[in-house]
Amino acid sequence: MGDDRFTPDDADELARCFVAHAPRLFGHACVLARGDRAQAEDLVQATFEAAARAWQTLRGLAEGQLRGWLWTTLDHLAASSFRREAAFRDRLARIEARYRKTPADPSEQAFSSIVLERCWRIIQEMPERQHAVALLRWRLDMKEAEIAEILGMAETTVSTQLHRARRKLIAQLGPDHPFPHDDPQGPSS
Amino acid sequence: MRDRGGTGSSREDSREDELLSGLYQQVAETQEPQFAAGYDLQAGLDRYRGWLGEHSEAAARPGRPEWSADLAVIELYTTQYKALVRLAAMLVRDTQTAEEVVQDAFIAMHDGWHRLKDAEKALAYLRQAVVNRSRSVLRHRVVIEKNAPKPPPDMPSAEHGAMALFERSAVIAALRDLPERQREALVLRYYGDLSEAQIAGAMRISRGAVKSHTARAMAALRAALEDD
Repeated sequence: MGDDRFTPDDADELARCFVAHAPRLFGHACVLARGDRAQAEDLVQATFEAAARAWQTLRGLAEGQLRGWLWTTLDHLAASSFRREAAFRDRLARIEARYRKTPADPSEQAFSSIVLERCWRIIQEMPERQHAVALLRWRLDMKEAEIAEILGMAETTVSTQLHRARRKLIAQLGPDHPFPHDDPQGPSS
Repeated sequence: MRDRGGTGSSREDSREDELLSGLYQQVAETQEPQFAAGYDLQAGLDRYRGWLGEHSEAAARPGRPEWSADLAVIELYTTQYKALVRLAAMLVRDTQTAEEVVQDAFIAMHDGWHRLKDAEKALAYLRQAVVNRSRSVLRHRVVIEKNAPKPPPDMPSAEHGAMALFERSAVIAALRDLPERQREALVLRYYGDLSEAQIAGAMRISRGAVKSHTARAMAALRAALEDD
């Protein structure tokens, strides 16, 4: 992370950076925190604290790169808030490198606003652990092995949780979505 | 719900993964702007500025390149003297000797000022000097006590008001019976209000040793106080 000192001049730059990015970053954080504004505010604050410590490196970045760094850092802070054991920081650099590039739009498929709204409700009602696994998999694009490592879970637990989240989402989204209806009209045994 | 008998990544799973990623992304894209619009930027900025103010380089180290020895000693004397005397008194167990110990430490610091760059280092130096001098007072006293009968414990410092009152308390009595290193560690921690690292520095021992001295001292104190 380089030199983690910053001067009052840096502080002014950081404050400007905060004004420019904090609102949208907060929006992003709110979705990760499933609407918990207080947690989102803490995540934003922690992200900009990290930015201050890394400012000697960050100040030279282009706007897009800086934005990428902020978003990625917040993602990892959010991910680590799910994790129980405390060995996350060591892995941060490796994971960070992976997310430097902005993820390509994974789907050209547009969902209707009804489906999106319903999905948001389902996400909000998921048990904490299931939500964490689902978020890291589908929103932060991590592999099961990485999720297991970050959350300190067995990989089989991650698979099981993902499987449940997957079934729950697809089952509860209703009929109006493009998932393969491999089992139409409800459950069969 | 149908159990597909496995959780591996079949082709169907990866098609679903792609759709679910898209779904999550679109959910985020619709929700984020709404939350962003409700953000209290002023409150967030105030909080961040507060943090920046506390952590910027200027705040962490008051910039005093030309801090002279006299000024520094006066400032430290005003702010730290009492606390250091209290610290020394806990170690040597009488206030008058404690004051002498602390004054000696200040004089030594003034003489060696060119080696000290800032207030933080000066304070660490002072504390260590106090600990060292207290130790040698105690060593000296052991030699003297071999030749002279011990005075009644409460007598010498009874004049010193609050300090004497303090010294008569049960805790202090129990503290006196602790082995020297344990007492030192405990005194530095709770009366000197030093961190583990600072204590390790002042006593010239490892942090692990500080931990174990403190833990043993606490256990002994607890046992002693329960006996009463």
